Amino acid sequence: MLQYKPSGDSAFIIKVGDEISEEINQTVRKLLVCIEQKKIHGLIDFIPSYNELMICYDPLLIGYSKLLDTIRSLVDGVEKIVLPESSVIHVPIRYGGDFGPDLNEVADINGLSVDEIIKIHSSASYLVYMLGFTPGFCYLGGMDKRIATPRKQTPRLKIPAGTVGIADQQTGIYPVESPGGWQLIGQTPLRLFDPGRKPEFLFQQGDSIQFHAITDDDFKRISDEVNRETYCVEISKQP
Amino acid sequence: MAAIIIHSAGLLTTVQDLGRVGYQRFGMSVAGAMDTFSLRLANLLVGNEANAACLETTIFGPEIIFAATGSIAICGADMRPCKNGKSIPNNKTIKVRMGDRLSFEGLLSGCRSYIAFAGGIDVPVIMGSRSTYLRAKIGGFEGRSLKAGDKLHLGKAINKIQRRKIPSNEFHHLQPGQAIRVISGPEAERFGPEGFRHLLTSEYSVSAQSDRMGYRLSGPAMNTQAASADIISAGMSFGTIQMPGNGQPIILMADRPTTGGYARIANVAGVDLTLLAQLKPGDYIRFSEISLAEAQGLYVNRQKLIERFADDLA
Repeated sequence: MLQYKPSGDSAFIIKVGDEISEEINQTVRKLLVCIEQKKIHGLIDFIPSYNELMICYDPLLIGYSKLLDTIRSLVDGVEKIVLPESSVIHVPIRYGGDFGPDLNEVADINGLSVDEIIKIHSSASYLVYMLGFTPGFCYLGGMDKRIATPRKQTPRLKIPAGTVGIADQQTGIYPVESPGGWQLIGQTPLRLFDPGRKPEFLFQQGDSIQFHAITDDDFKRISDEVNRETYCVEISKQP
Repeated sequence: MAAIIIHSAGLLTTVQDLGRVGYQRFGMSVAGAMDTFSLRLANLLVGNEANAACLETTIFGPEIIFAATGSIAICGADMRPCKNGKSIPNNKTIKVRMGDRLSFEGLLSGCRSYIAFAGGIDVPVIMGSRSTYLRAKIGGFEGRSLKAGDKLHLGKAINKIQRRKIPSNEFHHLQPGQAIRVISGPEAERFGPEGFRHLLTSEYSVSAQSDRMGYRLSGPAMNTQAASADIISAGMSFGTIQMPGNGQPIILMADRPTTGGYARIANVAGVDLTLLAQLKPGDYIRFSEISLAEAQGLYVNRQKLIERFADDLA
C-alpha cells in the first residue's frame, strides 16, 4: 500500500494514497510520529502533506538503500500507532468591513446574506491537512460548498497577515503579509507565525480550527493582548 | 566590535548560511546560500565554521568598507573583485585593514559570489539560522537585502589566519555542452519514456522570471496533455524540477516553497546544484540522467574534496 520513491539524492517520499481524505492524512501523521520518534541518524527534516510524507536526509550520513530498509521495517506497524489527542484551536475573526472587503461579493455570488456566509463559515470545523507554501499557511478541509467562491480576477498586491479568505472550495488564513487572489472575508487578530515566540507556529498538521465571529471592540482588545503577549489562545482537545 | 559598512549594495546582496532546517513541516522555507559549495569554501579560507554567515551577491557586487582589520575570501562567481581599486583573486584569503574598500568591476563568469569574513557575519540567529528569507522578511539583516549605509557586525575570528588558497581548477562553472545531471523524480513515469526523453534532449534557457525561489526555464514545450501535470500539493526539494501543464520546467532553488502542486519529473543531483546556482537569466541548460546511487556517490566525493581542502589549509 505504501509507495517509496526517491525525490533527488537527499530526500524521498512515502506515498500513502492518491486522494485527499482524512484517513489517508491520518496515516501520513502516523508515519511521521513513528519515524520521528526513532531518531534515525541522518534524517534532517520532514514535509508531511495531504497524502505523503517527504523525508529529507543527509546522504553523507546514510545512503538511500540502507535508510529504506530501516524505514520499511519501522512502518510495518504504522496503523497501530495511536496519535496524540488533536487540538481544536479557536480562532476569533472580525468578518467584513475593512477586515474582509470581499464579504459582500462572496454573499452576492452565492445568493446568500452576509450573515448567512458568516454563520456557515464559522459553524464548520476545519482540519489542518498540512502546512506549506509560506510559513504557517494551513491547507484546510471541510468548507461548506455553499460558500465556495472563485478567486479574484486581479490579485491584490498586499494582504495583511491574519486575513481570512476563500478561493474556490478552500478557506485559509494568510499567515504573513503577501500578495494574493483570494476573496477576503475577515481577519483574525491572532498571529499564526511569530519567529520570536515559542512555539513559532499557532497550528500544526492534524489540528482542527473553529472560527468565531467577533466585534470591532473584541478585535482591538485581542490585538492589544496579542501584542502584550497576554492573550491566551483557546484550545480544546478532541480524541 | 569589527564591522563592515555597505557603501553600495549591488543588485541583490543578502546574508546567507547553510539554511534554516527543521521547520519545513510548518511551511518554513530553508533559504540559505544558493551555492552552498562556494559558501563552504569561502568559510574554509577564513577559518570559519562551514555554516558561518556570508554575503551572497548577485550579478553586480556591492561596495564594502571595512571598519576593522581582518580576513576575507570570495568564492563562486568571478565578479573581478578589487581591494582599494586593485584587482584581487577569488578563492584566496585576503587581508583587509580598517578603511579598505572592496568593490567589484563586473561579472566575468557565474552569477553569485560568496564573501566570507573571518568570524562570520553576526546577525541574530532566527530559528536556527542567520540566513535571509526574503519572502517572509525574516533572518539575515533585518529580513531584507542589504542597502547602502547598512552596518553589519562581524563575529570573533576563531582561528588564526594565514594566507590560504584553493586551486581554482578544482571546481568550475558550467562549461559549454556540459549537462546538469538529474535523477528521475516521483512523477517521472506519468510523462512516459517520451516525456522524459524530451526533458533530456531539449535545450532550455534560464528565463528572466528566475530568482532565489526557482528558475523558470524556456524551451520546446513538452506535450503534457496525457500526463495531467498537477499533483495534490506535496513536498519539494532543492533542485526539484517541476513540470507544469504548459510543458516548461521550473527548477526549485533555495527559497522554494516547502510544498507545490506541479508534478516532480526529476531532481537535480546535489553535486550539480552549485553549477545551477551559478546560472543567470539567458544562460542555456541541458540535462542528462544519472542513477540515485551515482548521485550519492558524487555527493560523497564532493564532501571528500571539501575535506581535502580543509586538511590542506589546516
